[in-house]
Amino acid sequence: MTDRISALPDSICEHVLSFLPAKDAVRTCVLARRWRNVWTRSPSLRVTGDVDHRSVGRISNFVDHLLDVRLSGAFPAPLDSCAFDFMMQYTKCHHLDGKDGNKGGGEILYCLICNAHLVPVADDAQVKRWIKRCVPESASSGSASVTG
Amino acid sequence: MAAPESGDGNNGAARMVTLISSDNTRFEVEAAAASLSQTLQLTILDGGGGGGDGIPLPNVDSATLSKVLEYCIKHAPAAANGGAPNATAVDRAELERFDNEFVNIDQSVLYSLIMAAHNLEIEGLQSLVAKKVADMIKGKSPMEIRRTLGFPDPTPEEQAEMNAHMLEYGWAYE
Repeated sequence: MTDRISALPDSICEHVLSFLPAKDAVRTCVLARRWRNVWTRSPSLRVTGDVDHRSVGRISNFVDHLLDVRLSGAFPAPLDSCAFDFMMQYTKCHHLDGKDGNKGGGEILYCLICNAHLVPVADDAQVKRWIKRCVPESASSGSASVTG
Repeated sequence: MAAPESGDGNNGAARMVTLISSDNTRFEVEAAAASLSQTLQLTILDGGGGGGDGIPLPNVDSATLSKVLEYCIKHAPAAANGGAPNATAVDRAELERFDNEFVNIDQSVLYSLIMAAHNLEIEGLQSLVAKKVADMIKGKSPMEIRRTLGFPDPTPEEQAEMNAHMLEYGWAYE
């Protein structure tokens, strides 16, 4: 029987994973050999979570590991969108426009949203560091803006 | 069928095109609805699919095409209004209700729909079905996902590999 979701082409699986929170997307890597790296090619990254003083270290650890794997290799897959969306007490937003170095100069809008409360680890500096890893050129050219 | 007031400057009856499924069933549909497919849009703009000619779709069977067109007909008026910026909350709620009901289907039908949306490049439908699959995955354990998505049972070797991989990705399971 071939008409099963598990038999969908990789490009469609990548699209599916772009609708999942990062944690659910990463966890699909154990489903089968074919799924091992699908999540690393998904065009969108969405990290969400309820952040309090107990979970902040765990979330930080998760994002660092995720970016280590996702951005390793000679040609990491380009990200069309990337969001860090944490449930906290008040919100801040980061918006970046940037060029993508891996897709032959195609212009891609990077939209980064951060609803981040200032807490010891996932404060703005931490989120900016993650954003810088995802979109190095834009961050270094200073086009990042922070709005309340 | 009554033509929706699309306001796109057509006077009189809406233009119709014919699509032919892989099993040779002919479907007559408004050009505006069929044009939600990026794949068909250029052919239709060039005047294809009208009169006695139809556009053959060798990769889409009649059951799937009928379902795809149901989506296109429902979404065409909003698409013609440029995403319907002035749509009422009631219209939007109605489309949302339609969408939810639309993907409440058997998995093999969903699979055919995903492939057709992909082949015909119908963006809204591609996202709708991808979201549906994402919802089937969300919050489940690997074994639950495997069962839900119709993976065959893992061999002992595959099971060992899954366990080893879960250990390696411990940071995603904390």
